[in-house]
Amino acid sequence: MGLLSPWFLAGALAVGLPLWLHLMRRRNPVRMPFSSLMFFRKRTETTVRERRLRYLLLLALRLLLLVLLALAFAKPVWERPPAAIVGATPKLHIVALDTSLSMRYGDRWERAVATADSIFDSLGPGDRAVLLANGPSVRVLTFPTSDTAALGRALAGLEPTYARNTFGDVIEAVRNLAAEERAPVELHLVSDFQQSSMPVRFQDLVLPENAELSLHGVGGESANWAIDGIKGSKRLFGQERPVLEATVASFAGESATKTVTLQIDGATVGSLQQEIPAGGRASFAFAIPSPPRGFSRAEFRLDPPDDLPEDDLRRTALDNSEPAPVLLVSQNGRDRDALYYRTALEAGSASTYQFESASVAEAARLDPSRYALVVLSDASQLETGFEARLRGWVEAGGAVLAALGPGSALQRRSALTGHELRQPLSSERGSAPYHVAGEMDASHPVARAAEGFRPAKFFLYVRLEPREGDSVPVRLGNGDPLLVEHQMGSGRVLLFASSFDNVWNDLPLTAAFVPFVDESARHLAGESGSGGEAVLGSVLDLERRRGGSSSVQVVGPSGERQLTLSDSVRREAVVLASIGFYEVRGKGRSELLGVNPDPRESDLLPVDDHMLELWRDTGRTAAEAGEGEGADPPEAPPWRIWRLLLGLLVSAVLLESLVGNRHLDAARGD
Amino acid sequence: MESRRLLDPGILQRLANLELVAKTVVDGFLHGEHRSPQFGFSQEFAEYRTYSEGDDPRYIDWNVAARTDRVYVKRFLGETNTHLMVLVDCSGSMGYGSHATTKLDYARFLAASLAYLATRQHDAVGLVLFDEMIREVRPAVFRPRHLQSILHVLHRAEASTGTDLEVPLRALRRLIRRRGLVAMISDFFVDPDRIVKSLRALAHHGQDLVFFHLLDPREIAPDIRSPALMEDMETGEEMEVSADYAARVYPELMRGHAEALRDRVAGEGADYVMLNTAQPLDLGLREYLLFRQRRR
Repeated sequence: MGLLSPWFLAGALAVGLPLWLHLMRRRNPVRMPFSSLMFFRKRTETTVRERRLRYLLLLALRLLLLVLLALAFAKPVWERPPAAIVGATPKLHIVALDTSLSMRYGDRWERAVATADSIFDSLGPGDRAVLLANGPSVRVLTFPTSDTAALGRALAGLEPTYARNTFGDVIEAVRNLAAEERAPVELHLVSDFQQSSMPVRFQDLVLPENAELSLHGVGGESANWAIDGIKGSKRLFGQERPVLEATVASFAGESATKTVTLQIDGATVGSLQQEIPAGGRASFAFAIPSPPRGFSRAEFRLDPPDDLPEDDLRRTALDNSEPAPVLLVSQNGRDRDALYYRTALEAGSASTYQFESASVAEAARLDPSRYALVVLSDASQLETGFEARLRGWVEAGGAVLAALGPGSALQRRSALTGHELRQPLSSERGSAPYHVAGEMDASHPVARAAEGFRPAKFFLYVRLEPREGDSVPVRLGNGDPLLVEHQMGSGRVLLFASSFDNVWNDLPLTAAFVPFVDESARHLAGESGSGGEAVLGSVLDLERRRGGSSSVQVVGPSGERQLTLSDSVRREAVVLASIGFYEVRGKGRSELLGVNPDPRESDLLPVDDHMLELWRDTGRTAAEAGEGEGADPPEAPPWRIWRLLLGLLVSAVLLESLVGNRHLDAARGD
Repeated sequence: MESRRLLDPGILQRLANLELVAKTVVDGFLHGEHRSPQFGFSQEFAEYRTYSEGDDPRYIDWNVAARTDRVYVKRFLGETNTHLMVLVDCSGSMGYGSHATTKLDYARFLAASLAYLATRQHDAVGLVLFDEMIREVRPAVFRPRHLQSILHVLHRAEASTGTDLEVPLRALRRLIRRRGLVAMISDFFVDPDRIVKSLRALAHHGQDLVFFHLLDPREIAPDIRSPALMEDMETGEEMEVSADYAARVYPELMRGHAEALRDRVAGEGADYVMLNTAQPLDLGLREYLLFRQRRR
C-alpha cells in the first residue's frame, strides 16, 4: 500500500469542520433555559437519542466524505505481491536458443527452431517475447515484443555457431532482463542440455524470484567421436623424425573403427585406422616428413564423419623456421652469467632461440640487427661503434635485456639507456643480510613469470632511478626497482638491477630463473609460444607478438584482415572468433595459428534429469521461501485504489444529501 | 381601555420606580373599575381593640388610655382584616420569561401593587421573599414608610436557586401571629400534595390564603419546533426534548398540574388564581379585592 501524493492527506484535517459545525449546531440553536423540567419524562430522552443517532449518521457521512476526498487526492495504490501476479498478468517470455557447436549435431537445430516457433505461436494476449542466442556468449536478438512475425524473422536469421556456451551466461542475462521488467518472466531454454555447459557453481543457475523456467530439450541420440588433441612438438626445426599424435575420443556407447588422415598444406601425409573403444580414446601417431621452412598447415581429419562433423577436423600449425639468435654480451663472454643464462634459455619449453655469447670486444664486430634479442650482462663499457649500432637497432624496434652488475655500478650509469645508477646497495646492518622481491605488476608478462622471485635472495643491487615513461614490473621488498622497462624509440630495454652470475643474488639457482629468462626473451623478442593452435573464442595477445615492431596484422581463416591500420598499432588483443588458420604478421615474419572448436562441445552427455528438476525449481522455490537472490522481484502494476475511492466518494455525497434532506424535512415538520 | 393599557406588564417594565409602578397599577385599576379611591376604607368608628404589636400608634386612643391605663386602638367600619402578608417566590424558575417581563418581574409588580393597595386601605402589609429558604422578611405593619421598605426589598429581589414551599410556610407560622390574609405568588413547580401539606397548618392557624400561580405563556404552551436541549434554571439539569413531546404531552401535563393544584388548594379553603405573565395585572388585583371582600 502506498500513496502517490501523500501530502494531500493533510486535507483530512478538514474533518474538524463538520465536527465543529455539528457541535455548534447541537448547542446553540437547541439549548434552551427553561423554568423547570418537572414535566418532562424519560420517554422524551429516548426520542431525543433516536434523533441524535440520525444526526450522528449524517455527521459520519460528512466525515467519511472528507476523508475519502483527502484519500482520493493522495492517490493510494496497492502494491501487489509478485506471487499474486504470476499467471494473472501478461508475461515476458524469454526464449533462449542454444547456439553452441553441439546444436549442429543431427537435426537438433531444426527441432530447436521449431520449438521456438511454437513458443512464439502460443503467446497469450498481452504477452511479449524476446529472443536470446546462447553461444558463444549471450546475444539479445530482439526487443521485448508481441510481434511474432518480427520474432520469427529474428529466429530465421539465426544459426548455430562453432563456439561453446554456458547456461550461467543465460541466467545472468535473464536476471538483468527480469530486473527491469514489471511483468512476470518465463524463461524458455531450448537446448540439448550438455553437461559441459553447466557452470561450475549451481548458484549461477538460480533464477530470479519472478521467473519460471521451462526447459525444452532437443537432445537425444548423442554418439559422437572427435579429435580432441595433438601431442608432440610442433616446432620441427632440428628434429630428425618428428612425430605428431592425434588423440581421438569416443563419446558413444559402442566402439567404432575410425580413420584419421593427416594433411600438411593440403597434401595427404598418411591415414591410420583403428578401433576406438566405447567411451575411450585412441592415438594415431604420424611421422612428419620434413616440411618446408616456415609455418605449415596441418589438418587431422576423422573418417567416416559422424553427426557432428565440425569436431572431426583438427587444425594445427607446424613451425619449421630457424630459431631466432640471442646474443649475450659480457665483459669476457665466458663468465658464469653466460652459462646460467644459456642453460635457462635452452631449457624453455617452447624455446625457439639459438644462443650466442660474446665479450664486449667481440661484440664490436657484430651486427645487433641479426639477433632477436641482445642481452647485456654487466656490459658496462661497450665499444662505441657497437653501442651506436645497438642503439639504432633498438630504436628501430630491437630489444635488449641488461643485467646491471658490479661493472655497471662503477660507471654509475647504465650502458645504452644512460640511467643513473648508485653504489651497490646491500641490506642494512642489523637487518636481514639480503632483500627479496616485493611489489609486482601482475599485468606485465615478465612480472607474472617473476612471481617465483620470492625465494630468491638479493644480496647486492644497484639503485635505479626510473625515468618518466618507464614501467617498474618488479620491486624489491624495500621498494627499490628490480626490473625497469624503458622504451627507446620503437624498441624496449629491460633493466635488471642485479647480475646473472650468482654473486649478487642466488636467482640463477632458483626455480624462477628459467621462466624469467624464457618469458623475458619471448616478451622482448615478440614470440607467442602458442604451440601452433588455439581454441575458438580465445584471445590472441597482440602486444607480445608486436614486440618491438610498430604494428602487427591478423588475417582470418577466410583471408580477411582483422585489424584496421590504427588497430594494428594500438590494439592489444583480438578474439579468435572463427575456426580455421589465422596468420599473424609482424616483425618481418608471419606466424600461423590453427583455431579449433572447444573439445568440451564434443561431449554431448546431457545433464542429469534430477539436476534439471532442481534447476527448474529454483525460481519458484526462492519465491516461496522469500529468499530469492540475485535480481530483485519485478514490481507489479499497482492497483489504483483512488479510483475506487472516487466511486465511494460519489456514493457518500449522494447518501449525505439524502440523509441531510431527511433531517431538514424532520426539522420543518417539527 | 387607556387605563387598562397602563396595567400591561410590557409597559410597566419600562418604569424604573417600583412605587410608581404600584401607583400606576392601582390607580389605573381603580379608575377602570370606577371605584372610589376610598374603596373599602371608612372613617366611621366601629369599636376599640386592645393594642397589639404592629398596630399603627396613630390610632391609639390616648384619652381612653389616660382614663383606663390600658391602651386601645380605634377600629373603623371599613377595616375588617388589616394584615396582608405577601409571599414572593424568588426561586430560579421565577427568572424565566419568554418576553420582556419575567415571572419575577411580574411577581414584583403584583406584590408591589398589592402592598400599595393595602396601604391605601390602611392594611398592615408584610413581605416574605423565599426560595428554598427565607431570603427577606418584612413584618406586616402599617406605617407610612413601611411601603417604601417593602418596595425596596422587592426591587432588590433576584431569582436564585430552587423552590421549597415548606420552608417559607413553616417559617410563616412563626412570623404571623394574627389572623390575616396571605398572598403567595409563585410558579408552583412543586408537587401539589406537598403544598397542601404545608398550607394546611397555616389554614388551621386562621390565615386566609390566596395562591397567585404565575406562568409564562411558553410554560403553558412551549414553542419548540425542533429538538431542544432544555436546561433547568434551578438545578442546571439538561434534558433533550423533542418538538413533538413539547407540543403534545407537555401542555397536558402542565394543565393537569394546574388543575390539581387548584383543586387541592380549594379543598383546603384557599383561593387560587392562575396568572399569565403576558396579561395585565388587573386580574390579580381584582381577584385580591374579591378575595378580601369574601373574607370580611
